[in-house]
Amino acid sequence: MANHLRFQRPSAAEAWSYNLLQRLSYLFVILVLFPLVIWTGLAMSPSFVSAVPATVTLLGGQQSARTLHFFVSLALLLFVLVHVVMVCLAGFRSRMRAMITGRPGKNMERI
Amino acid sequence: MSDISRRKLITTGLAAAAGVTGLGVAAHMAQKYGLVPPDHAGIFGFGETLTYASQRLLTRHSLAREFPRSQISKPPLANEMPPLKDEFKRLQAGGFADWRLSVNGMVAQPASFSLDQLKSYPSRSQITMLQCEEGWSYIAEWIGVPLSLVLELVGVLPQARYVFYFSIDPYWWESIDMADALHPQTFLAYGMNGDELPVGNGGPLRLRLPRQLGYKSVKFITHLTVTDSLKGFGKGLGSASTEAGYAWYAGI
Repeated sequence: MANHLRFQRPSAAEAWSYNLLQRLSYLFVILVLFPLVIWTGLAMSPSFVSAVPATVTLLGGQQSARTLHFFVSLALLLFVLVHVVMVCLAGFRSRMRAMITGRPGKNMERI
Repeated sequence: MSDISRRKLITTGLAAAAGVTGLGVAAHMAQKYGLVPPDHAGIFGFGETLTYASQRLLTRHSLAREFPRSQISKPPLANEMPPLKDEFKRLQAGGFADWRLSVNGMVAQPASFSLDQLKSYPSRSQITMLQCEEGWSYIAEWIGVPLSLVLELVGVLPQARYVFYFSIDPYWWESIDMADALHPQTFLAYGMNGDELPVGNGGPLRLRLPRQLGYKSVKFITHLTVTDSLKGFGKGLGSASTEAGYAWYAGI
């Protein structure tokens, strides 16, 4: 955490595992932001809320859903931007290879 | 290549074949049960089809949310619109006494109704939200006759699948499927908040479709056509707004 605040990037070996901040932000995006953006999106659908009115009444109305949806989508956009910047800093090609094949490159030690 | 085993190759191949077959069957079933919207082609076509099909399966009979009288918006928003044509102004000067709603197409008896005739039928009211795709919304009490009552009076033929509705403004026309046309909250509205429907809100006669976005609630309705095909109306996409890139089904 202290290293993060000092803008020190992890060593090559450490970089193949996720640190605390990364894990927390992934958890937040997957468990909070995505469900919230789907929920507020459905709450703006006149047809969907006719079948499941609680989607919108729990949020206090369609306009509240709309405001929440806007800010959650901004948060997701921010996440994507930071995510892409981090991928570039950590080595674009090796990271893309890892994302697609699910394993680090041949010259990397697996951790 | 050494990483890909024969077993993996066979399972992947079988899964892909099953997937393609599944998609084919799904497309066939969707066609058969009328779950494919007219704007199913193009980049957004798959999304439009998925939306329309799932809404038709899940929300065919659901009722739009109705609000207590205390939540009616004051004043009801009259959004900006293109200037009204001379024909409209002439009818307006006569207090809309000569306003007609004609109905033709796949009906037993094509008919034409005056506003007074429409008002003589049992009126219904609903307090629902009009929600625009631009983001604004307002809640109002809408008074009118259910579209289903008018369709019943003219005797819709069993093979009918869509109802087109046309504004006095030739650039504004829409269509809906029979599930929406016969829905109890689909109104031909002539009144609002206990009064006449103001021109700014679509008076003297507006279609109200509270389960879809505002642009499907066309103002200044003069004509209905019942049909079994969207072909022959414009480009065959079902509405002027679909031709302009909007979704045909706007339940979202």
